[in-house]
Amino acid sequence: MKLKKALAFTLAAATVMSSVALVNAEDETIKLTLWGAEEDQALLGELVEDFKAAYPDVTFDIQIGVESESTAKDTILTDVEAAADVYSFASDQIYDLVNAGALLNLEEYGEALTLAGKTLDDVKAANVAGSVEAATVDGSLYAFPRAADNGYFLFYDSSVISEEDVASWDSLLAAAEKAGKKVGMTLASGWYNASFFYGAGFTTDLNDDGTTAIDWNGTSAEGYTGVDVVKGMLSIAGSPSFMAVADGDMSNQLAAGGLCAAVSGTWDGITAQEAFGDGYAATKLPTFTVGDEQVQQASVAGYKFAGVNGYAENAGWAVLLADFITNEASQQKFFDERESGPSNNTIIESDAVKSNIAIAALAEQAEFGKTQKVGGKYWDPAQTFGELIAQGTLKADDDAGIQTALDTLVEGVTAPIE
Amino acid sequence: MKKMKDNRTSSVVMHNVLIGILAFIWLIPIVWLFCTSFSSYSGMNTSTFFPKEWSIVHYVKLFHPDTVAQFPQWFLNTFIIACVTCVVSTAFVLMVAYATSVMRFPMRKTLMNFAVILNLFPGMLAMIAVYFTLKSFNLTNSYAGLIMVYSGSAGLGYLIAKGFFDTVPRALCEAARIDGCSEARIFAQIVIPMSRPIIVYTVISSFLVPWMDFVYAKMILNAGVSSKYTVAIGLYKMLDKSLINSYFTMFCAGGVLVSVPISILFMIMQKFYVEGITGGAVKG
Repeated sequence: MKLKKALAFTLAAATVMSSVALVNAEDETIKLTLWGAEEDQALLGELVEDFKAAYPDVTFDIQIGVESESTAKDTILTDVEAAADVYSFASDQIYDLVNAGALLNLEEYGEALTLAGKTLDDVKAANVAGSVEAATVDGSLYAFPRAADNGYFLFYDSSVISEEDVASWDSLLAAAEKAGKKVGMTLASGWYNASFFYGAGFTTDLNDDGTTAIDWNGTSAEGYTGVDVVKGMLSIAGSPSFMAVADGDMSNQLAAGGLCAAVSGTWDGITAQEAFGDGYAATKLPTFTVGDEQVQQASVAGYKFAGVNGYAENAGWAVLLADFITNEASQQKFFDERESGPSNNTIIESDAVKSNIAIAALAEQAEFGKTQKVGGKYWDPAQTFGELIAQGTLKADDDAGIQTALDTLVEGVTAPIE
Repeated sequence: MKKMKDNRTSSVVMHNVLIGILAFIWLIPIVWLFCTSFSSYSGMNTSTFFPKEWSIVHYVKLFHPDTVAQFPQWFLNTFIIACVTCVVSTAFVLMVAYATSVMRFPMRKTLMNFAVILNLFPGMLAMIAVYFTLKSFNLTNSYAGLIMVYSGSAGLGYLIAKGFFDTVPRALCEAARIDGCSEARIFAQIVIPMSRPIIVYTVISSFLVPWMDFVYAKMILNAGVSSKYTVAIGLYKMLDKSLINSYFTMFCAGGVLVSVPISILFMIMQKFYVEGITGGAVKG
């Protein structure tokens, strides 16, 4: 009897407890963490307030943390569970993040967006095709495009170099030589030097097992050989008015004042503006010589995304927040306050964007931008290869030597992952 | 006779020239950092060794925090961590050294050997294990966790302090013991006062560990809350591709300021350094 009484009491207590829990669940505050770049913190704070205001019935506790887009992958992969629910990252990191389960498959959470009155298809339609393609892995969207400014193009000093000169590397280098100045580009980086190969129709691709497929030692779809592309690169690198700049050293070289043109991106915009003064101009990359033809140099089209952590507790709300900070209004604010190049179609078409020299040049180059699909084994061999060219170790008249170097590159890049 | 003197003079000159050259080479980076921190240009420009225009504007900026650079806060954070770590690990080191040097107990030799061998492994090996252990106790993103990491294994570095304690005359300890002095009093009132140089050394080196550490701080303070950073992480973040153009000179200024507490600590401690060596306790 006593036992029964005790049992009844326990049950009653349990019922009360659980109903309390239920009530709690209803007015529970939604906890979210958001990571963005240092320089965007103030703006993100503003956007988060707007987000809260958009859902007045819900209590949010949103923490904003600092993690720059370029290093997001390294920090997040150290401990995915400890990473933020919503974070910004550069588009080239998406494959590693997806493989680690650090990104939520948005197709499965598309319904959450109905609260914001839209669908995932609206998001895809609102942003430039390239950015959506780069955010898609195996047919599913994994991140919201926020910016399309993570690519490179040509800054130049229009007081030294004319608009005709920047059309090709040959005329560009000749004009620079006449002015006694140099043209800078980073060759020792797989992110920059791939632009020559992509331009000639070569490709890289990511296999299912994480290895990289690369065809640079053969003949491209457009009929150019890898050896000819390298010869074109060597004739640029061998010019006395070309300066091979170490990765990350471009702003330093621009500030030093020896350059009259440089291949870089929006992050060096202010430095270039200071260095070139009234002559500050920017345009798409020049063409270069392959065999006896002029080929347009391509580029790696880079985007900035907002992704949702695969381990996020409040995944639905996290998706809504990620969408909110990347929607048209937010991208407009990012452009107005941070000069970030938007990926939203409507904003790209606006006059304000078109009159921004760096972002307009980026948009011009976008036509030749490729999404760089490579695995982790790509970067080191590609960097070494770039150094061989930058330092003049390879000779333009040594076809066999170039072919061997390309074969070594391909062998290194395609190596299996242990 | 004269020739010999000439030889000696020329060799003295040669030695000093050599030392001068080495000192010059060694000082270049420090002089560069110091000069660059007074540049008026905020980005990086290595075309000239000395800045084109001098200014203290970046020191001023450093003390007016924005969302990127919260130097005063970082400085305070690091200082607190370093001070606590300094006290805890100095205590650990000295106590272990005392126990191994003065006291006799079974397994003493084995433990000493074990500790030395353990200390030979680079601490980074245990990094992942340390991280997940801290995480399971919810100690990541807390200074308590960091302080534990910095001071936890400090006792293993007892060897130098033990060597010094060995030179304290045993007769003194034995005399105290006969007079009924407890082990704690022998440690605190006899051995410690006679070992000032090694205490100075231990204090400075324990202070420097957290003050200069980057790897562990970066790993443990991973919530991305800028105001909780230590100086090392904060300064590192300023070198990001998108920030370096506007923060490089502030980074240099921060680098200069970081050396201030270490210098002060050393200047205070130096007094004891000399005293400890010259002050004798046992009368001949």
